Amino acid sequence: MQLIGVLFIVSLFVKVPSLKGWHKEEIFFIFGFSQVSLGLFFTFFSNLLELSERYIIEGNFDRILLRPLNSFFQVVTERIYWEESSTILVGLSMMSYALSRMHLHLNAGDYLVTFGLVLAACTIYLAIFTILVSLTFWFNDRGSVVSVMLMLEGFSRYPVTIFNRVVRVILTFIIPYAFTAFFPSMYVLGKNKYSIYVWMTPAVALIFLSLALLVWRQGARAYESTGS
Amino acid sequence: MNRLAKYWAFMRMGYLTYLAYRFQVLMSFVSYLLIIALNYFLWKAVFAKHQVIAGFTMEQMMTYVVIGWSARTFFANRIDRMIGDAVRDGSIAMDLLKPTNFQLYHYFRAFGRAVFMFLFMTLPIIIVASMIFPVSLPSGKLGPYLFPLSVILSFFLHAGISYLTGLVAFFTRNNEGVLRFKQLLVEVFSGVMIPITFFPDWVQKVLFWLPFKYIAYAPLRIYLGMEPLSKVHQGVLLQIMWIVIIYLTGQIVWHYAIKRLEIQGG
Repeated sequence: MQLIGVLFIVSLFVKVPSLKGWHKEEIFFIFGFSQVSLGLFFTFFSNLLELSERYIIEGNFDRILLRPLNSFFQVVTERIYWEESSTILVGLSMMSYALSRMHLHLNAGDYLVTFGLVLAACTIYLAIFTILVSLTFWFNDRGSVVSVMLMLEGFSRYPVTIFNRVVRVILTFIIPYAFTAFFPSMYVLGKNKYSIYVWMTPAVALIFLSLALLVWRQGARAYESTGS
Repeated sequence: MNRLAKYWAFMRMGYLTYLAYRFQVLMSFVSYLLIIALNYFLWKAVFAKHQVIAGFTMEQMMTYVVIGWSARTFFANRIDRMIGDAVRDGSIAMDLLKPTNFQLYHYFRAFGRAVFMFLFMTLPIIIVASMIFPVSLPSGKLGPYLFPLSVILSFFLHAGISYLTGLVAFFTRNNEGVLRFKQLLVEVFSGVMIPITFFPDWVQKVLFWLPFKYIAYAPLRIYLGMEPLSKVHQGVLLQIMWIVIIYLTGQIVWHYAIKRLEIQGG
C-alpha cells in the first residue's frame, strides 16, 4: 500500500506550501526517488522477504542448499514480483512532475549519474533487508522485525533536516535510510553542501552489501548446523 | 441468555487468538510508535511557519495523530480477509454450520480482537506516546464522555464495511483486489492519515455523503472539542445511522451471497 504514502504527501501540499524550507517540488523529487529505488527492490528482490515463511518454515531452504550455487543468489533470484513495479512507475511520475516544474538543466550525464545513484539506493535497501531476514536463521519471528523496518522506511522519503539530531545520526550512520533517497537526490536538486554525501552513496551501498553478505553466510551456516 | 453466551464465546476466541502472537504485537507496537514519531517531525516542520493550518494548531494536530493512530489499533479488523480466506479454502462450510447470524459472528469475533488490542496496543501506545509527544486530554464538555462511545461506534461501522468487502468473495472467489481498494479508501478517507480538512473542497463535499469519515475524523473532532454540541450529537447519530444502513445492506447481500455459494458447491 505504497499509494497511501503518496496520497498523504499529495494531500499535505494542498494546504501547505513548504516543509521547513523545502518546496513541494523538492519533496516530491525525494519522495519519488525513494519510491523508484524501493520499487526496484520490491520488484527484483522481495523474494528475500519470504525467507522466514517460504524457505525456513516450509523447508524450501534445504532444497536451496543442495544446489552448488550461492544460497543468497538463489533465494533473491528465484522469483520476480512484476506487480510491484507499479511503485517504480509512481516514483518515476513523481520525479518527472518535480523535474518539469523546477526548470533544472540536466544533460545526459546527469541522468546517467542519477540512474547509478538509484541503483546504489536499491542496493542499500537490499543490504538492510538482507541483514534483517538473515536474523531468521537464528530466530524465526515470522517477519515482524521486517515490518518494523518497512515502517521505518517511511523516514527515508523526507529531508533528514526535519528530524532531530538523534534520528539524523541513526538514519545516516546506523540504518542508512538517508542514503536511499535524500542524499542521492541532492545531486539533481543541486544542493552543493551535501555533495560529499551524494558521492558517499555508492560506497555506503558497497559497505553495507558486503556486511549483509557476511551476515547471510553466518546465518546460513548456523541453519546448516541445526539441520544436521 | 443462551444467545448472549454464544457471542461471548466468539469474543473470547477473537481475544485468545492474539495472545498467541505476543512478539508480533510488540513489534506492531513499535511500528505504531514509529508512525507517530514520523508524523510528529513532519507536522513540526509544517507548523514551523504557521500557527493554524486547515483549522488545526500544532498541539491539536499532535493529539489528533496520537489518539487517531492508537484508536486505529482498536477499530481495525480482519473480517474481510477472514471471509475471503474462508471462501477460498472452503472452511466457510464450517462457519455456515454454526447456528448463528454470520454477520454478528464476525462482529463479535472481531470485537474480541479489539478488546485485546485496546489492552495491549491502544492504551500502551497512548501512555508511551503521551510521555514523548505533546498530547492533550479530551476537551470540551462532551469530549471525555462521548469520545469512547464514538470510537466503539467506529469499530462497528468499520466492521460493517469490512464485512461487506468480505462478502464480495462469495461472488468473485478472490476478493483481494476489492479488499485492497477498501483498505485504501478507509486509510485515506477515515481521517487517520490526515484530517479531511486538508483535502480540496470538492473531496470534502463528496466525503460528506460517504461513511468513511465517521470512522476516525468525526470521533477525533469530538475528542478535541472542535465541534459545537449540536454537531457532536449529529456526528454520533450519523455514525449510528451508517452502522444500521451498512448492517442491513450486509444482511441483504448475505441473502444473495449464500445462494451463490450453494451454486458453486453443487
